[in-house]
Amino acid sequence: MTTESIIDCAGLRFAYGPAEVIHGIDLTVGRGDLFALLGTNGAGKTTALELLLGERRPGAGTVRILGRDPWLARRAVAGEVGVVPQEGGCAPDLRVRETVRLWLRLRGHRDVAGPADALIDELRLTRQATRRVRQLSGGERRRLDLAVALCGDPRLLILDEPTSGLDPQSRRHTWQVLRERSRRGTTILFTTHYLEEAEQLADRVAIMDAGRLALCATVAEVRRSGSLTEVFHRIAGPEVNS
Amino acid sequence: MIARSVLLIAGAELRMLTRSVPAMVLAGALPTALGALIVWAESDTGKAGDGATAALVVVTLMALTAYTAGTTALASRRQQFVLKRLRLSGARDTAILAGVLAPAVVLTLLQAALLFAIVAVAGAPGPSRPLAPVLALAAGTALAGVLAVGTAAFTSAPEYAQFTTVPIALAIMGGGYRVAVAPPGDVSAALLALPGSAVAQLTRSGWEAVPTLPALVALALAFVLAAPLALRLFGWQPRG
Repeated sequence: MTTESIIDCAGLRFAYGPAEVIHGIDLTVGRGDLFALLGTNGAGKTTALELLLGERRPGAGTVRILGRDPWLARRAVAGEVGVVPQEGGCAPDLRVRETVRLWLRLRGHRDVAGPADALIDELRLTRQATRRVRQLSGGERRRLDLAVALCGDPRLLILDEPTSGLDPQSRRHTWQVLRERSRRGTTILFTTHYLEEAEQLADRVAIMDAGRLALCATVAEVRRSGSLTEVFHRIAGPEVNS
Repeated sequence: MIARSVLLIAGAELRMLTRSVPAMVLAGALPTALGALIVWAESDTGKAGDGATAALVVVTLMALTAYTAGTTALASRRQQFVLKRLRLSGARDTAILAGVLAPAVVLTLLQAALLFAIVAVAGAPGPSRPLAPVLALAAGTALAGVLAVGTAAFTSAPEYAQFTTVPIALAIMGGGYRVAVAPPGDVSAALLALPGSAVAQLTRSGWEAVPTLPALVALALAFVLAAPLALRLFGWQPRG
């Protein structure tokens, strides 16, 4: 199934001062994969994503994103990757339409009016298009975060909890958007705390536990030994926010 | 490409600035009023001379608008995770910083233009070497931007900028004011090391026979030394 490697990590380690939080991750994500990275709070998911994006320098091991080292070629990698960061980060006093147009221009588009409206429509933000970001609800902001990540039609999407704060309808719609992108060849790596979301949406899942990759398999392989929820709780313990 | 990124980010920042009336008033009216006060005091006493008055105006705007407002803007955008996200666009770090600092730069230039227009209308003679104050304003604003990046490295939230900017703002204004009231030949090389001193000396040289080369060298040196250090110190993640 996997042909071209889009994300390739080997022996990846990272420490905040003396405390190592990523203990040697090996991970390969192929072109068109829809890959879910799961784990409890503090398992190391966000740090792992920051390492993939070149925002932090690995203590050891190698990372290749689209064939490049993201720490050494951060800008080149950023130009080809759409990201939903956990914290959002859209400027609060810009309007929704202005935000999407700005990001399309930053991604090199010249004629942005049509593509911006198409993205706004795709994420069902048409009614909010003239609102300022600070006036949006949490779910609307999250949809705008995804619209911004989709600007420029990137080859790889790295999404840190893209459906947090979304109502069930919006969440299902977001799944549709991501499935459609995946079908068109976009590689998607996302984190989530919703285990049923990972089971329904992803082709492959990895479970992080205390900075280690405790499991990496296809959803079908996981199901042979129980539901994803059961397997997750077996690895991470029962007291988790699933 | 870098210029395009700067213009795009600067355009967005300026648009947001125009939407915040309190920010416009605080960032714009206070330094303008202070500058106007300097002009008025000089027109009343006539002691300092036209070059010194211009120097006082330029360093005041450099300290209060370009530097202090610039530091606050960077701390604010970092706290909102805007800087971190803009970095994911593939834009250069320097383009992002320049874009976010653009409103402070534009306000400084507008305030200076307004104040010098007021002075001209009031009948004060223009500079015999007009390039000098223009150069001083441009270099002073650029240096203030670099100092803002360095100070933002130690400013964990925008509300703390009112404290973290005090030492350098005082150094800019203190050095500038000292130079402005000193006899032209009495400005030592050590005094020119203060950020506002060289700017004041260069401004003054538009009206008076003041040597410009030491001021230009001091400004160039300050920029070359401070810029890499500020970029190295600056952190893109919100500070705890």
